[in-house]
Amino acid sequence: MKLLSDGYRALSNKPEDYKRAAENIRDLLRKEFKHKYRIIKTSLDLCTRCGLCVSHCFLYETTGEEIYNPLYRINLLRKIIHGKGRGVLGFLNVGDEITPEEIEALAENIYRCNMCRRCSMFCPFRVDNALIVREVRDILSRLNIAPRDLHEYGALRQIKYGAVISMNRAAFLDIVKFMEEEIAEKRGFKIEIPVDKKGAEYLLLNVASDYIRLLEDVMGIIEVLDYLGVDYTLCSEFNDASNYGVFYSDDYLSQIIRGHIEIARKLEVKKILVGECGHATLSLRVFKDIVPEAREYEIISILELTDEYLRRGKLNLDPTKNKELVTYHDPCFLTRIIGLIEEPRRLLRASVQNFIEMEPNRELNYCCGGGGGIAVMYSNNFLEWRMKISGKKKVEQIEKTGADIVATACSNCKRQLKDLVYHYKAKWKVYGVHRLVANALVY
Amino acid sequence: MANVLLDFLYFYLPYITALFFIIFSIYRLISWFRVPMVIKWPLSPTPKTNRGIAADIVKELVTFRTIYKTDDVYWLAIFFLHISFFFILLHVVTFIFSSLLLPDPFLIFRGTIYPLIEDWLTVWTTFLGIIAAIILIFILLRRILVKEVREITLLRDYFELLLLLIIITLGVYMRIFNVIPIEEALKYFYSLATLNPIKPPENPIFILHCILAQLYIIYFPFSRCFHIFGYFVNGWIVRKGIK
Repeated sequence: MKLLSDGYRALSNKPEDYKRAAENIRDLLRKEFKHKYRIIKTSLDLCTRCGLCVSHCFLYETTGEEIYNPLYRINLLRKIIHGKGRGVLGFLNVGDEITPEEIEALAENIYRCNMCRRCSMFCPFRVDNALIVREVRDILSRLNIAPRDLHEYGALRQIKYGAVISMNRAAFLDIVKFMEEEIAEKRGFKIEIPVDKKGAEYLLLNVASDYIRLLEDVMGIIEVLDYLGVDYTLCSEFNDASNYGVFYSDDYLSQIIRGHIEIARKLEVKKILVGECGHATLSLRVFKDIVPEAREYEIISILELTDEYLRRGKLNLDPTKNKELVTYHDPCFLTRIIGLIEEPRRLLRASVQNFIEMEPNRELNYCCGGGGGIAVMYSNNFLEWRMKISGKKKVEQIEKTGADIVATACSNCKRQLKDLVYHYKAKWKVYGVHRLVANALVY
Repeated sequence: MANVLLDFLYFYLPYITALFFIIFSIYRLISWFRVPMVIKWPLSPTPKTNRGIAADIVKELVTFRTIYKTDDVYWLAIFFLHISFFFILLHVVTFIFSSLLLPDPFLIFRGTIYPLIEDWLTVWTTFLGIIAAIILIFILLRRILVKEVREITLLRDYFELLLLLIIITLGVYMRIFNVIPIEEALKYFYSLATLNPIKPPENPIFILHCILAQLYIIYFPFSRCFHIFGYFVNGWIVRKGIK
């Protein structure tokens, strides 16, 4: 089994950390995999190493290196869990004592997996790599092995300030005011954006960094909601929908979900509406089951809500207002886990004139290269890896369509795609789905 | 000493094998179901109803279409491998257990139905055995020659494949060259099934075939061949949607 050989590093841990992890990880893994998610245990037991998934991993396709092979991780994990001579017929397991180098290879491997689950689509037994990766990340984070961008600059900041970008209440209210002015300028009439309104039907949670980087996308969502007359509210505290705990830690995951639920309770809303974001939707929709108090809330993605209004004929759209050629990038979490596949397509077909599909598309779509939290990782030389290796396939795929606009519904994907545009000096623009929908509204 | 060993192989090993197989299969399944599935973790798009999920699982089971999506040559190999395994197993099982199902197999089954289809059955199973052996060699070669598969192959994969290949080759060899009269083998299985074992036909190939097959059955609950059961467990989890 080859170990890590390239110069890229996702993590900035010291050798001592890996040494300490090597001593403790076997017990932790054994305990964890026995008591956590059933699909992890069955997946590890089921993999027949047939190799069908390998050619569908875009990282392996791009590099051809052994450490990107989806099975490399499973083999390494099995080796760590079983060891040499352990278990029935253990002599058939190739394995020795765990070395710090192996732990480093494992850690780097799991922080380079995009958790896109494209490999599972082609596995006859649906062996699930993404959840395995997540759990190993969780275990390593307890041994203090986690990327700085996810942990210190991500989850810890969100818990402390309520938003990953450490935006306080005054700054948020300023942004809301600015949005009101912008929309008034664009539309010619003033709308009021409700903040901290008690008893509304929906609490709208957007990813906080969208308020800085992608304000037009947020404005799009707000315009559409205002047009539809939906009873919603924003909140001035803990208003960041993102939850980096999804990528690496159960502890922070549940803390942040609790924060969201607390706000929802305080504002006495009935449902939680998540803006355009894959992992935020995933955290509240799927992982809320691990936080008992969150189960009472219905979590809806903005795509579902708008699509429902569109199908009921409440949304009057004029596609000629968006003349450019638009393609849609399927965010992995929204597509392959939540199953929002046709909703964004219906919205786009109704609001743009020229729509083109990427090849392959829908549930077989390639990841943007920033999945699994990788999109927010800039430390060391990881941005270079993200651009040159991870994002290469996506750029090729988009270039092939010749589209002017890549629409997508995930904040992480947008970040990665914008970085790709900058790196490859590409001509296409990255828009949120609702930005295009709002642009096509007929008042 | 040699006698004790032979006695063990002839009279006790089959029961130990059966016990091992049953106990560890159940143990393995229980160990899966003891782990909770806290969250729903689907692989969309998913069927909407439970009936739809079951239909999807069966459809996949019959057609192996996921493999077809990736590699049609490999699909052909895997598809016919499973078909031949299915019929060979069916044949072996009816061979062994017809004695349990029917009151007197030598009178009813052997006396009436079997002679009518005996020749066809022999040709059919021999043919399937040859097919299975060829496919196993193909899979073995694929493991050795294709880079992306070779680099992830473990020692146990070769072991499992070779063991299966040897068992099947021996079986086919016995069928083609009529190494032992079929009645002899049947009598032995019948005696085992009625818990009153007699001495098996003393042919080294037959004995080796039986011992290796039993080794495989003992190893089965720990091998990757346990995917027979896991297919349904995982298949159900990922097809259960969250919408």
